[in-house]
Amino acid sequence: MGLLNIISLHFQQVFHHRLRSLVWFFIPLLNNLVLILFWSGALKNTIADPNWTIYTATTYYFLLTIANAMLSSHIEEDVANYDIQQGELVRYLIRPFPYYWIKFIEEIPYRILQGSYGIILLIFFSLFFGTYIRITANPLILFFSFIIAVFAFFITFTIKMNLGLSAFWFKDSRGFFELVTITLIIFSGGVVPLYLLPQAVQIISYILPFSYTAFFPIIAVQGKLQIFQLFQVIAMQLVWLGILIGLNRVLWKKGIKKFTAIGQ
Amino acid sequence: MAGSIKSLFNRKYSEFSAVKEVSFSIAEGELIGFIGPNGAGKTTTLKMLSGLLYPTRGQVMVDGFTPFDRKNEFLKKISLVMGQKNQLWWDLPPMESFLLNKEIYQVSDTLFQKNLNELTELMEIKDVLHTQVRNLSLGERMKCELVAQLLHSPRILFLDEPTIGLDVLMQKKLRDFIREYNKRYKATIILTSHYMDDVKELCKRVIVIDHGMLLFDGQLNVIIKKYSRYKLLTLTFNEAPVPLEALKNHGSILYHEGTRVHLEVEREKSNEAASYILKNYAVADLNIEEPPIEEVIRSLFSEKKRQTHGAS
Amino acid sequence: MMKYVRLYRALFRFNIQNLIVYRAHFINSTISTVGWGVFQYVWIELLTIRTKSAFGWSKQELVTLAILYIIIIGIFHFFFSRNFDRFSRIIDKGELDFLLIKPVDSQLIATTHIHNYPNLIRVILGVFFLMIYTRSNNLFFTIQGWIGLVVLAFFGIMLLYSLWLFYCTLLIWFPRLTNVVEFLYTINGMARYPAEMIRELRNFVLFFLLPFSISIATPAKVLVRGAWDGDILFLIGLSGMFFILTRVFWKYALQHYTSASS
Repeated sequence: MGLLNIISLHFQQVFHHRLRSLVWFFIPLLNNLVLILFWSGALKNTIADPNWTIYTATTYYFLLTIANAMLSSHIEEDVANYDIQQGELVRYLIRPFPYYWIKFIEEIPYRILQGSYGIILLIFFSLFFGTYIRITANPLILFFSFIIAVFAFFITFTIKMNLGLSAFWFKDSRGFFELVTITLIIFSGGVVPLYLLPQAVQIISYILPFSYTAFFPIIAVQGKLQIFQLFQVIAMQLVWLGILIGLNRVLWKKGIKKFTAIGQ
Repeated sequence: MAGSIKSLFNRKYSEFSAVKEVSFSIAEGELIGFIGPNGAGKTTTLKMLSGLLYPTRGQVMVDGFTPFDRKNEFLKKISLVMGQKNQLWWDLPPMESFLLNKEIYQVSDTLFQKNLNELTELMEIKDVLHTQVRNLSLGERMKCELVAQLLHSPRILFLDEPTIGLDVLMQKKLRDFIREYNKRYKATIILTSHYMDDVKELCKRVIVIDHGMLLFDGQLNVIIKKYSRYKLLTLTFNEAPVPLEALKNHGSILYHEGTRVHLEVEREKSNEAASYILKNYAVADLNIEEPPIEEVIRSLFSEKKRQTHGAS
Repeated sequence: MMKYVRLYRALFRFNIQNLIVYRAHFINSTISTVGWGVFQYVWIELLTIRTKSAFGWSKQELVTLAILYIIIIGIFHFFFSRNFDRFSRIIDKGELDFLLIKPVDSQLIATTHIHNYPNLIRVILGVFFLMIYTRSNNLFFTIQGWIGLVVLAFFGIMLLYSLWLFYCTLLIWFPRLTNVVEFLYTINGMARYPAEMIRELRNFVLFFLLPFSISIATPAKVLVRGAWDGDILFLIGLSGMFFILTRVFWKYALQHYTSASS
């Protein structure tokens, strides 16, 4: 019950900044809508691929908008600058709750609100241009897609948390954060779906954790994966989650000693 | 939570008048104290006088200019210093900000050098001119801030709480500087402050506002005598128990703790009470203070309210 | 006029000194800026990995447009974007007071007094990309094309400046909309695409997005195709009109500026 109250309080804070939240949503939306527009003209001059039609492209970018809104996390600057560099971490340390989970709970309302905008938009768009949206209707696949989406968020969140924790050792890592963000965009299918890329690049993408943060949740919802492939995706996500959380524990243990030794 | 969701779609707004019915005029060379409690409208008034805010009604003229026309000739004559805000570049030495202001205000090289020498000497900051602002203490930063704002020799100064957060010694130094600047350059200065000492030491005339309305405009000694009926005595006795019952004969005990007592005494009787207590009791320390300015204003406001209700 | 020349010279010196003092920030910003610059190139290469053309623009023209975007946007960001980044903060915290109290044009000082040096590196990178790409793809442009590019890039930047100023001026009424600048960075991205693509949208969104798109697509078209068409007059006219309108809007907005509590 206490946890629900905490989440509820953060929701209230998010509602207070509703206009800001809407603008944050418009940013990936605009990017993705323009990409749909690009493909509407480019597809006729593109090497034909049955997986990539105007319908799949439209669905892909709409789902990408929802994924950008709901499954991404931007806490690295918050963790690095406000909490570690400026010492706000102190107020988290005195709470009987692990820092990782407090930040997670703080993040949830933003993601839900942003994701809601995306889902409402998708429903609205479907009412008028329903033929352009191709999503699976199989409840089992949808269920596993949901699991994949949840793990996707955990992966992004943990990656960004680990990035933020680098502030225990490096005073200013913004450049590095941006490079990771760029890499994440490319290898998570944020520009084009990974199956359009050359084979070698695809293999690299499927090994890295980034493809499991947006690309696989999207194509799962599109119904492009068989059940066994969904299990494969979940398995890879769990492997990466294990690695990332393990890394998080190590970074935290070593970093917090440094933080409390030096002081604010 | 339900309220928050409701506010997502339907938000209520209310209008608030920061300043209303405020009228005054100030002669050249005057040093005025502009006082009032927090939220009274002091800063808003200063910002209207300096042209930052547009008044919704009424007229403002400063040295023949309408401030919010923001003519360059007007802006070169004035300076606004806000004690809680810093406009020097954080990562650079103050000298760099001074040089930038020199270009902005089109101060000639000769005048700039002359003013810089005079001001830095007055403020005693010659040795910090080339230290990054981020590495200066609050007092040093405040002094550099003042110098930056005075390099173009403004003749009209708006000082908004310039001594806030400074230690007692620094406050005194800043007051001495303001007094000297006013005397030397015949500058018109409007000073807002929550420290009664700033106003008492510098200003003969005060303007009091509260809730955006002008309550008093006149000599400071009049306002103190008229609206501050009490003085505060802070007594520290050598040993407990303290003679509380006896002290009640001289005034009201505000509070006491251990050997320390805060006693409110009528103004006319404060010296007499202090002298009696010192003579008859073992007192380690005695301090006589004016009540906080908020108390004076509160008394003033209560008086005004009583007058208004009485009239109606 | 001389006053502003001297002032701008002082601002240049000021900014360089700030850069020297805060080197770590410069290095990080450069990594970030160069990273995003390279990303613009990678972006278009990924989009056109199986595509020969789009909206009448060949793949080579699209890539050239993307590279020109890196250069022209880099110039815009060098002079202006850090100032706009701060708009929300200076309006919300009342720090705009310090700029308004100075005897200089408020619009000028608010939008030009901080320079973003890492973007110079991005511009150099863009020029380097352009040289490499044109050489490796045997692309040759005429002198008129280059002159047209430089002249129209000026108008393109003026148009972008006016649009950014317009949206940032809205912060005087909505100071908490701190991410409107992030939104502008995204809309700037429209300039990576051919204007013909944006024209496909037949509704008011056209009016909203097209100015951003033509700011760079038009100079690019002059360079890559020698296309001295109606878009040029449209760009020049639009940039002049928006410049004047946004100045009027800025002056009007200052009357509604409420500063911040002390």
